[in-house]
Amino acid sequence: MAILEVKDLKTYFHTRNGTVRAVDGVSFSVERGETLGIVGESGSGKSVSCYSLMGLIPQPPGRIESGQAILDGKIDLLNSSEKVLRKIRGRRVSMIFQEPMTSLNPYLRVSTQLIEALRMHEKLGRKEALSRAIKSLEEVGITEASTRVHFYPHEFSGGMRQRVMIAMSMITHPEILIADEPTTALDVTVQAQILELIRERQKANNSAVILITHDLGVVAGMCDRINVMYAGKIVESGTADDIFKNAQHPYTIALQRSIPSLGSKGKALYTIPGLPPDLSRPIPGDAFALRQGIKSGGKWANTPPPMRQVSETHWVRESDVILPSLEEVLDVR
Amino acid sequence: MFKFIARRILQSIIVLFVITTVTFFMVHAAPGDPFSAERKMPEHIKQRLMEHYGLDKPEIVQYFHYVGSLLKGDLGPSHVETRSVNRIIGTTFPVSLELGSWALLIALGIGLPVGIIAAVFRNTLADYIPMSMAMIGICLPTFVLGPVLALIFGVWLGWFNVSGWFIPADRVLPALTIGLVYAAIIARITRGGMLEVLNQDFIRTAKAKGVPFPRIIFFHTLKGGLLPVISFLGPALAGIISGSFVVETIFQIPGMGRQFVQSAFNRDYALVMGTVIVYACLIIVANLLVDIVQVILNPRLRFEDS
Amino acid sequence: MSKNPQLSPSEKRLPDVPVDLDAIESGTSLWQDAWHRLRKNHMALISFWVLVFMVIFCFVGPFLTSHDFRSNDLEKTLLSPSSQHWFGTDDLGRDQLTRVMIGGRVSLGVGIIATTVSLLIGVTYGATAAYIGGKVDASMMRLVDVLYALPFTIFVILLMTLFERSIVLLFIVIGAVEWLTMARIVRGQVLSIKKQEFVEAAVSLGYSTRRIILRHIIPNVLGVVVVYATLTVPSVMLLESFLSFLGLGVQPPMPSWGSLIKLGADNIQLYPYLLVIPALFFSLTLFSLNFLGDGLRDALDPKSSKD
Repeated sequence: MAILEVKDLKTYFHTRNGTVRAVDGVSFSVERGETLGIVGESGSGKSVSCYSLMGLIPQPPGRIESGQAILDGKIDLLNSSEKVLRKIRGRRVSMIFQEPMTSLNPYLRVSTQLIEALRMHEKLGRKEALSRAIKSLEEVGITEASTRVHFYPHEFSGGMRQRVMIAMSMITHPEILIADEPTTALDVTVQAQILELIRERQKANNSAVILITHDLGVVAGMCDRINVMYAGKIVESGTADDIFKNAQHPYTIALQRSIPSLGSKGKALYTIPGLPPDLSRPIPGDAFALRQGIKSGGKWANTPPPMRQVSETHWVRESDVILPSLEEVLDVR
Repeated sequence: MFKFIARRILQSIIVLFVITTVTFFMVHAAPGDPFSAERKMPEHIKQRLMEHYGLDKPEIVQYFHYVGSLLKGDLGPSHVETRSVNRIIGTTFPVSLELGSWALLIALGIGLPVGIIAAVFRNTLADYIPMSMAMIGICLPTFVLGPVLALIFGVWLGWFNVSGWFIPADRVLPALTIGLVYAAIIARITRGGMLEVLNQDFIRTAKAKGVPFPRIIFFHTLKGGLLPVISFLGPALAGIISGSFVVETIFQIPGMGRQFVQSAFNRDYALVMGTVIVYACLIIVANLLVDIVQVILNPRLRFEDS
Repeated sequence: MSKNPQLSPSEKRLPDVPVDLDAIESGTSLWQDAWHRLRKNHMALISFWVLVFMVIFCFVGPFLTSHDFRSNDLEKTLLSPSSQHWFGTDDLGRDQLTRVMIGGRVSLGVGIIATTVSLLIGVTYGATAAYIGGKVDASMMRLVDVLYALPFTIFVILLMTLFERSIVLLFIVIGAVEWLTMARIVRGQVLSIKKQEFVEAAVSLGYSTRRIILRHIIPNVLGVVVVYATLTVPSVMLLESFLSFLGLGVQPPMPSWGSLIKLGADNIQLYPYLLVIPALFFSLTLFSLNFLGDGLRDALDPKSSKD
């Protein structure tokens, strides 16, 4: 059984300029020990959908309009009392963020921040919690952990801070780890180390990982299954092989083309033309077809395109967008 | 840390020295002398007095003489009154200190909780109402608020004396006059500081860890949120001092503020000098304390220093 | 491949969305946006009209009353408000309405002139420091820090008591205190604009220094200067009235709102209207200036607004 099952999640932001449908009917599930990638451009709703699960959506203006997120077949994360949820957050479901520089509290020692979850959730004593904290730092490869546990965050480098974040999120052995762009703010050399570390900790705890990123390259090496999101909806869902070897949705194909590959020196880079649509206006049909510089047959202009099953693991949203070729894209400019 | 404090103390001594020197020559460069203020006195008596106080010597000699006795902690004799400056300030300073302490207590006691509540319940009535009142409070200068409070609570309602400094109840109106203005400013600064921290990423981290809301406010936010308030305390003290000039005049309080203004009018050189030096010391010590507290609260500053 | 092979690489990367580059450059849209936002801010608009009223009241009003602010009438001292004297008379039998008008003229006048003085010093100093940068900047700002640490009101009081009190000395003294904040703000603003992407873009596109200063730096600094000038006027007026209250500011028979409040404070037991009326005018003006300044700040720089 899936450790987490999300059904028809809708998160809207009610602003003065209209209702932004940031997440508009998203469903997915994750198994124990599995890694699920959620890919999309910024503003596609990938982060908002996971923040909704953690209760991190500022309300107002945000509101979770509908949906369920069943943890372990028992608790609905979207419709439970704050008291119940607080015992889950940071214990059974935890999260790491994009900015390791600002995600740790600069005014508190790392030790204080590490042991907080243990003392709160597992009611451990100070001493016991501290030795667990030191152990967790050692597990993420921080040397001299017993001294450095008492440092302040600014005394660590960016990559080291992200290690501290991972140690902090894994210290309670959570069943689910949500990683929101965990490597985006880091040096390329550090990125691979951090991803490797996440995978290693995942194995040790048999946790499920939800990896949010805009970088298909990151997803390729890490994930068992991948959801591609566009304008608040999932447009394609499948195993890594389905997505990389047999992509069906034009948006997925366009995303893949825009990965700069080795040996492409001298060739022009492919970029997806136009910008994602304004989500504060209702989009009746295929959102990708609305993009400037994109041509479509117009079949899904006014009716929402349904999902179509490609194989047992592979689903795709219907679209009749015809992608411009590389030559065409450069010609337009 | 100790290096930092030592450096700051050294800086403070230099600033104090500069203030002493500038004030000394400014006071002496001004037209008039202590004996020309009110009564006309015969020239030979004035001559004798000038000699007595050493005011006939060249200014530079007077200056070194003054600094010499200052280093021994002696602020010299008053030129107008019969008591020494040390004695005069010894009686007026405690009065002002008490007034200032009450004012600061009111400012922090009202300003901090109001600011925190407004930040936590942002964009609700608990934010709008106190913040509008704070805006009014900031615009009301002490010399308007003081007489108005005296008019309402002293004259119309008759709860307090309109002037004097005798019974404990006499402290209420003067302390409120100074304190309320600073309560308003501190409330706004607290709100701003708290909001700034509440919008930081690490607060989101804490929420994701399942930290309960009160702990997020008082443990994760407060330390950073209060930093702007701490750095405001230096200017606040200077403001409370200048407030005391006005408030002590309005309520006829025998404190150092009123005495300072009078001594300047009287051209009582030694008393003016002495008061300025005491004020300067007070402000410098306060700023030093503020700096130290900031370094303690903000680990990043500590790191930069070493 | 490309139809227009002469295009340089930077131009090829221009965004697909048509952007009015001139509008971004000259900052016209900035001011238009600001005006739109300001019009929605009712408090700021009310404040603006209160200030207009105050200016007319103080600068035109005295010509319309039949009294002179200096002429004593010892038979008519301390009269309560009446149809003859709307605001009553003071301790020397002078018409209080006229004195409130003239007092406002002095307070507002000092506020505006001393603000201009502090503005000129502060903007020049801050912009110079930021423009030269490096060690000069560091030492110039160190001086500002040192001056900040000085107990200024005490010096101001000393200066005003020891030397012959004149309105010129008052301007110098107030201007000398108030330029510090302005210098800091302008320096910070110039530095941050120098670093901003659109200026770096302009530099990399090869625009001349003059063009960058005229079209990017000045329009963007101007907003902040306008905001803080509006907020400096009340603090200058506060300082002037504070001095006048202590008897150290404007000298009699010339009134200022500060000295009128002082007279009222001395007579609250028997003649509260002498306090209430000038205090009301003074506070209302301060409120309006502060609200207008806040409104302008929100309008011109939406990022820095309260939340």
